[in-house]
Amino acid sequence: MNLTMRMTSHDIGLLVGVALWVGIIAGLAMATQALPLFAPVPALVLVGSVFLAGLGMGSLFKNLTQVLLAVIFTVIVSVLVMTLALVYPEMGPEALLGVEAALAGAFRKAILSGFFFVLPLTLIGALLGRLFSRHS
Amino acid sequence: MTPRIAWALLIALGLLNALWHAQAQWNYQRLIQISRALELRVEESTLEEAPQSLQVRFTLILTNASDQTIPVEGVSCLLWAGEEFLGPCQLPTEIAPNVSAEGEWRLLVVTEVRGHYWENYQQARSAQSFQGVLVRGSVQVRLPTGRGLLETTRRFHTLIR
Repeated sequence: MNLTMRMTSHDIGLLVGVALWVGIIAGLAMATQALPLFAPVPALVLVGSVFLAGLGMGSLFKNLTQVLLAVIFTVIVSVLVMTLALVYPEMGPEALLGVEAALAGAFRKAILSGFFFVLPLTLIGALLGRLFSRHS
Repeated sequence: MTPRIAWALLIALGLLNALWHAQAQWNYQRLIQISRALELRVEESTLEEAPQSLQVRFTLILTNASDQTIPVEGVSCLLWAGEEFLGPCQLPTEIAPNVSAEGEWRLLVVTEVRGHYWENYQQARSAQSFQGVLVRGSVQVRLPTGRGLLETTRRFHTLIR
């Protein structure tokens, strides 16, 4: 907790910015993975991209607290981005489902993807990224 | 990994994922459009009774309003008269393999109902509730998904009097 208190405004800005960007990457990757018949790349590539984003994120932070905060923020952002990405096509006149049904389904998928894919992938990636950063 | 490499990696991954997701959404919307552009109907249906047989005749028409050629995998159908089963449709040996873009696919189906199926028909016909011969079936088509083809079914049913 003390480490958090010592963060400068630059550190906080970096944390928010990076976590937001990685959250968008993870959310889009998971939303694409949720459409397996239509995705132009295999699911493994999408999962790999989330891991790589975690790796990049981890190498940008100085301490473990920042990494953990960034991972938590990333998961939250990714859930929101994935929900929006999956609901968006159901908003127009071409919608197959109602917006409420689409929103409920998309949010459930996003929560599951967030905890079972985004959280472990970005956490492991970020911890490894921080190790690489330390050794370089 | 230096911060410069990390930032380059994050920017590249962001752009790639945005591109992949846009492509997936586009493929999905396209599948819906193509799916809605297909219409299956039954026309020119007739029943012709002979002393020991019944001829059931109809034309299946699949209209494709999209700009994509749609492969047709197969057709199947069954004939019923009320509760009585009159057998499967006798399909032509050669079926056009696809529906051309903005085109039409037609299949003339002529089935001779004979033997015990004819007896079933006679039994159903003698009942007061007899309304005609019900044809129920489906056409299997393959729709493009962007990554491959998705096999789907278009069902049809019609009552021939």
